[in-house]
Amino acid sequence: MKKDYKYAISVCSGSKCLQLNNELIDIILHEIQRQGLEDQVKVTKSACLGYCEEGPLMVIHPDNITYARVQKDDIAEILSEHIKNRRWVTRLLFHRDQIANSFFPQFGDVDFFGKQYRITLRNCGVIDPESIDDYLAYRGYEALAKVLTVFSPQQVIDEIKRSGLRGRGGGGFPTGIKWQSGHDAVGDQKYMICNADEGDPGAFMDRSAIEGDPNTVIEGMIIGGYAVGASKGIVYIRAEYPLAIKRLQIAIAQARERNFLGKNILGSDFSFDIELRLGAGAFVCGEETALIASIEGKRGMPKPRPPFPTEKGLFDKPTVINNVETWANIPVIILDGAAHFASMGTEQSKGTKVFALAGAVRNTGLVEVQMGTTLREIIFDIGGGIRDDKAFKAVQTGGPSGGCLPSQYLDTPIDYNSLMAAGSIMGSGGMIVMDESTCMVDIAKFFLDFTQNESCGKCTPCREGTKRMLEILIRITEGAGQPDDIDKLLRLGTMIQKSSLCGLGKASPNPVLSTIKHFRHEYEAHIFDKKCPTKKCKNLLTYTIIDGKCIGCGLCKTNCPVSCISGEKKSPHSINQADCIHCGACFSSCKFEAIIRE
Amino acid sequence: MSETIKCKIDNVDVEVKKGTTILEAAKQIGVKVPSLCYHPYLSIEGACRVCIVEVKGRNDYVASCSQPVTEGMEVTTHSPQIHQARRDIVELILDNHPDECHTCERDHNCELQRLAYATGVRDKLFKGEKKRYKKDDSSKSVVRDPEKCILCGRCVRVCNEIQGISCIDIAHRGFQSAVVPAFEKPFGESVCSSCGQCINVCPTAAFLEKDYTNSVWKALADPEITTVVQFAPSVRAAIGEGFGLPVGLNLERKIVTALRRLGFNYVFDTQFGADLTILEEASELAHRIKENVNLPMITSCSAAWVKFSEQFYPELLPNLSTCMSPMSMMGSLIKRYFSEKIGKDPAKIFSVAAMCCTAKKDESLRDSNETPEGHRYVDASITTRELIWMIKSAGIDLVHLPDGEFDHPLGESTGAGTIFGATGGVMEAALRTAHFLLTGTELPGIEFKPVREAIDSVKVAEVDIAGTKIRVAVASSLGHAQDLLESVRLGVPYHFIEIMGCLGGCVGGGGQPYAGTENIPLDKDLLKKRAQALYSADELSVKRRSHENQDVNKLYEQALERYGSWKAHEWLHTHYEEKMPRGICRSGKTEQKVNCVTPDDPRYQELSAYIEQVTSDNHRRRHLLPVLHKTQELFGYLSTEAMDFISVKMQIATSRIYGVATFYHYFHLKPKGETRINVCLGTACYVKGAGDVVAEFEKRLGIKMGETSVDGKFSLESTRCIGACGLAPVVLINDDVHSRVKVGDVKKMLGRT
Ligand SMILES: Cc1cc2nc3c(=O)[nH]c(=O)nc-3n(C[C@H](O)[C@H](O)[C@H](O)COP(=O)(O)O)c2cc1C
Ligand code: SF4
Ligand code: SF4
Ligand code: SF4
Ligand code: FES
Ligand code: FES
Repeated sequence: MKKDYKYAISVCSGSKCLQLNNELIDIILHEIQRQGLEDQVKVTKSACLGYCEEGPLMVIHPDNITYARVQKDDIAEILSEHIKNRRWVTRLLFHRDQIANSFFPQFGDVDFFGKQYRITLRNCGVIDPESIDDYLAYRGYEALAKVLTVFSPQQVIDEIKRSGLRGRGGGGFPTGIKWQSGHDAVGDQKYMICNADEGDPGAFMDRSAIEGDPNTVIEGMIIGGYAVGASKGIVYIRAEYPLAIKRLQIAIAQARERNFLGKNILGSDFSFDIELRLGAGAFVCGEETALIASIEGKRGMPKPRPPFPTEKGLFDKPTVINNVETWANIPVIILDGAAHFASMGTEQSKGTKVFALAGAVRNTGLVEVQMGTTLREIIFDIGGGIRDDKAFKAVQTGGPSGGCLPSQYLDTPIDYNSLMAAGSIMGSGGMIVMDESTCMVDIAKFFLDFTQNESCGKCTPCREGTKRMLEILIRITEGAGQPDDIDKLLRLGTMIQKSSLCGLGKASPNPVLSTIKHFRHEYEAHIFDKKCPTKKCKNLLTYTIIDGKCIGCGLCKTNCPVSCISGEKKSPHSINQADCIHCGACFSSCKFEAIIRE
Repeated sequence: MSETIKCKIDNVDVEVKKGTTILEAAKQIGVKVPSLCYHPYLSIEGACRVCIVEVKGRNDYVASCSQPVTEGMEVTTHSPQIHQARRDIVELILDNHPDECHTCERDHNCELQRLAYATGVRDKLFKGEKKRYKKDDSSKSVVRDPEKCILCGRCVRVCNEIQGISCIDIAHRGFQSAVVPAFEKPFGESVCSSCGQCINVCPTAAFLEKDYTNSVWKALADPEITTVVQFAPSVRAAIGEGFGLPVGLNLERKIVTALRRLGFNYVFDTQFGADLTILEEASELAHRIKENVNLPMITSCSAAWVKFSEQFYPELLPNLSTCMSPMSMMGSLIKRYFSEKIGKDPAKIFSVAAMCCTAKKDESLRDSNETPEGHRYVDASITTRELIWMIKSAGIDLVHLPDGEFDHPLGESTGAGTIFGATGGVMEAALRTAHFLLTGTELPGIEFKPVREAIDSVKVAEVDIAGTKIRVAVASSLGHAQDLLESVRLGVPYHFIEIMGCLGGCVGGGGQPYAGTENIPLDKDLLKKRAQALYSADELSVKRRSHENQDVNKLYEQALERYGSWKAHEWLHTHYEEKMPRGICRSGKTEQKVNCVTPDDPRYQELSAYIEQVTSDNHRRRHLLPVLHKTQELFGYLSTEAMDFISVKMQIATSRIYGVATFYHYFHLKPKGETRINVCLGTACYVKGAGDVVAEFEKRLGIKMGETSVDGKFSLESTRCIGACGLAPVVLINDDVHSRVKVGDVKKMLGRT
């Protein structure tokens, strides 16, 4: 940020708001000119602020005041009132009670800092992600300079080891140890890869991190390259993330201009450059060996390990792969020291973790919390509890590879080991909250359908086994479940977990196994009583017309697509259950609540 | 300095070389861990998971075929848990496999069957939907039955790693995965060389040779027809394996008797044709060396090699010897020389060839392989396997038959004709005769071992003939052939090259007996033992040079006049022509790339420039994904034509490109509608009712997810989380985001666009 500006207006331009806000930015710029404020106010775009519900959002620095649901017509007023008259436009202020549960404590009038703590997202929403100068103003590339001048590669690795940082891509492997084996491996060429393939449906941490602060990921990779002895870096990113791609490209170009990338970085004898690779829509390509195959131009099929990528990775050369969030932590660890990082979190898991909170909570969006924060704190304090006053039923972490945890696990602290012990996983950060109206068999089916679709098809347990499990789940939700179906699911699930080639297959039964463990009665209700307790599974619903309430208007009869309702005008109608297709047309058409669904 | 590792398998101490896998180590203590995708001579796939074992300290099961043992490792290869898991895995394979064992050609010869027995699948617990495909019998030699494929990937690996052809690859993914030729076109329109190696390595009947036995039975039963049969050298060296005999027995004489018992009127020897080939080929070589034209001369007896060269190396066709293969020479003589001798109308003669080869079927059906009157040289070419079945079917006890004698005039042969069956055999036989033709004296010492056993790699040698140093080279397998031809292209001068399509030569042919416990295809010992059966026969022969074959000499006297005569050319030589589709060589050809014509269409021009710009480094293949992205950006989808263009321009086999294009959701192979409706089915959107929104779109548009409406206006797709979960459910129409979509909004959304 240039010193001579007095104010900066930061407009959210995450993928969701972007289209709308480009227009908004034009208007703001125009209005600034009109009001003669060019010398005072700078406009920047920020990444998704994570609170899409209230968008479009804009933050005015240094006051840190956030305005929500800003419309075109509000701009003139905001500028004249806030900047000129130094009065807040209260009607647009992001409300105090919301701020108490805020996702971005650093914005606005916040006295509630306790629950969130931002490292990965420290600059998101604060700096202009398309300006390396902004990044530099926030201590950008200082860690790199420090490393190149005072650290030996081994010292960098030792520092990362001491920090206790574990991979944020899901597996939680200690990053320092991974770098050490990359460092120790012999090879004329080594590669660093940033895994930005973010495939978990319902997660967008990595996208937002890159959109908001691409430079920190790049800086992390350069430091890693220095530590491991690699001269090439590759960011493998989903093609579905055009904005993140664009911002990375800009950041890489700017970093090259400043010689943070390229030959003899900052006058040292270390050279490093980064190239982008676009994915093409395959969840399994997030798995490291599949990702490597994909970069090599092949079908993204996993390979048996060993050999591990650190010994024989991309083009058979030693390769270190880390997740976006892992990379984003590196500069902070170097700058603030391993000890500071290690002081956050739990015994086994240090630092912070970003989650994409979604589902039935009031506040959805990105949350960065210290390890050790409980699920309850995230869902009820930060997330504001369950929407529409419904009851909490379960929380799903780890996406299709994770499990569903019921309320008795709400006090589980976020930590790789404790989530695992509870029967789920940390995963990459997807967190979906479910209320009482969610059918757990249906949700297990949803996740299994996803993994089954995404199976690369290489190994038998995953290719054939998940298909059979899915068939069983489908028949259970359609009322054709058989008494031994739960046993079959358990038997197949355990076998698939233990025998599959890669993590996708190994984790695919988790949603099913965890729902059977915690919600077995729901499965049993479907199978034995042929009832869906949440009334989600259409085929298990029966519709009956109550004699006393039906006035014989005939509306249901007209609406039934299969004409299975009979009855004379003005006398009670009835449904022929054998022909009913459970579509519910009658139920929604009846104006007299004469039809019951159960 | 081979390091050793100590470990424990089933409580037995084992010490093995570093790098040894659990599966190999277990074998050393006499434990055979069940396996399926594993093949000792192909790369490790680790796909089937049948070979799982328990390793102390690990929670999951470990694939023993891909996991090397480590110091102190404790392995359990069988336990109740492992038994159940293995059984379930094999059952899962069977659940997606036709229940047709009784009518299957591999009944009793099927690895899957053996595995089902061994792992104890006695009932089926998880039955469900099975894949459905049509059989593809468009190729003249190879039949593909995808329903029987269990996706072990061995065929893909043999075709790529050993043959360097990459005719097939796995396409699509997950439950839809299938092994297919490029663009799922029929096999008959592919770059397949018909070598049959995929049949040999396939554990099931998903690849088979085309069955021509019906026409043979019919001819045998027809009293009007004179049936004539010939069989190749390698058939005699391997047929015993099909009857439970040890590898490496030469059953030549018993086969003769068996063929007579089957009802053949005349039994001839393809080795006669081999001797004849040598005389023609050696004189052709002498001529080419003298005139210094079309060198190096390359042998043409291997049918797979010939088909391959016409599709992969058209520029080398002038270098091929114009001699037909021994089989076709025999066929030509049967329909011309022999028919006249017995005074029979060639139309009433049915000529059968029993071969170690599948590609011979293709060869027998080549346009040129008939007389001007339209009499096919060979009416039916059957494999060793088909012959085994015919013998068994007729109830003939091959093993205990008395010896029989070949008929004249096409039955005599020399040791030179015998060794044709092994790699290097043609070369050695030719050298024995060429020396004589060029100098009038015999090659000192009859054997020429430097060209034998070109199994691990190409063999190169030099012979001094009348003061001229003749440089020769031998390659077996089309992969090695490419290595050799690459060096020729780089200018290494050879005079004479022998190429056999299959590893080890004809003894390793694609028509040889199925794998058993002792005979694993591609196994070097197996190939050497079969070859040894032929070399021993050669050693025992009185005549070991083709020019000593009296019947052959008589043939020249009576009909052909002299070697390479005009008549010999008419009867025994052929020509070759470039065939489509063109194949892409394993290492790529720069000329082909440079000469690739870019269509006028500006989009192709741009694509071409893009490819040239990105592919400047040496990792040719790594740029495939960016190039496909670019192509889709330019054309809107990936057409077959565009992928063909990329294939030539980047020198990547089309099957590979198709495999990649069908793997990733992002690529589509059909044009999309003007308006693309993309419903997010990520978790957040799903729990908020995206499923119902999809159903509504499907209902209103009358199409299913993934389809495009007939008028080309709309296509309906799903996506996984676009990161707008707070606004769920989300629908993208082209690139506009619509949030919190309800079923009721769908009509309006469609109306607006
Ligand atoms: C099916 C599957 C999908 C994965 N997807 C991702 C992903 O989207 N992003 C990611 O960083 N790691 C993903 N991983 C984990 C990677 O394999 C790898 O462990 C990780 O990128 C290593 O980085 P880290 O140590 O920093 O976590 C996935 C793993 C599996 C098995
Ligand atoms: S577990 Fe699934 S995704 Fe992984 S290798 Fe096996 S088939 Fe492929
Ligand atoms: S016959 Fe040979 S070339 Fe054809 S697909 Fe099989 S292995 Fe490949
Ligand atoms: S065709 Fe045979 S060898 Fe090829 S993948 Fe299928 S089962 Fe394996
Ligand atoms: S034999 Fe080991 S995985 Fe197939
Ligand atoms: S799940 Fe639909 S946008 Fe994330």
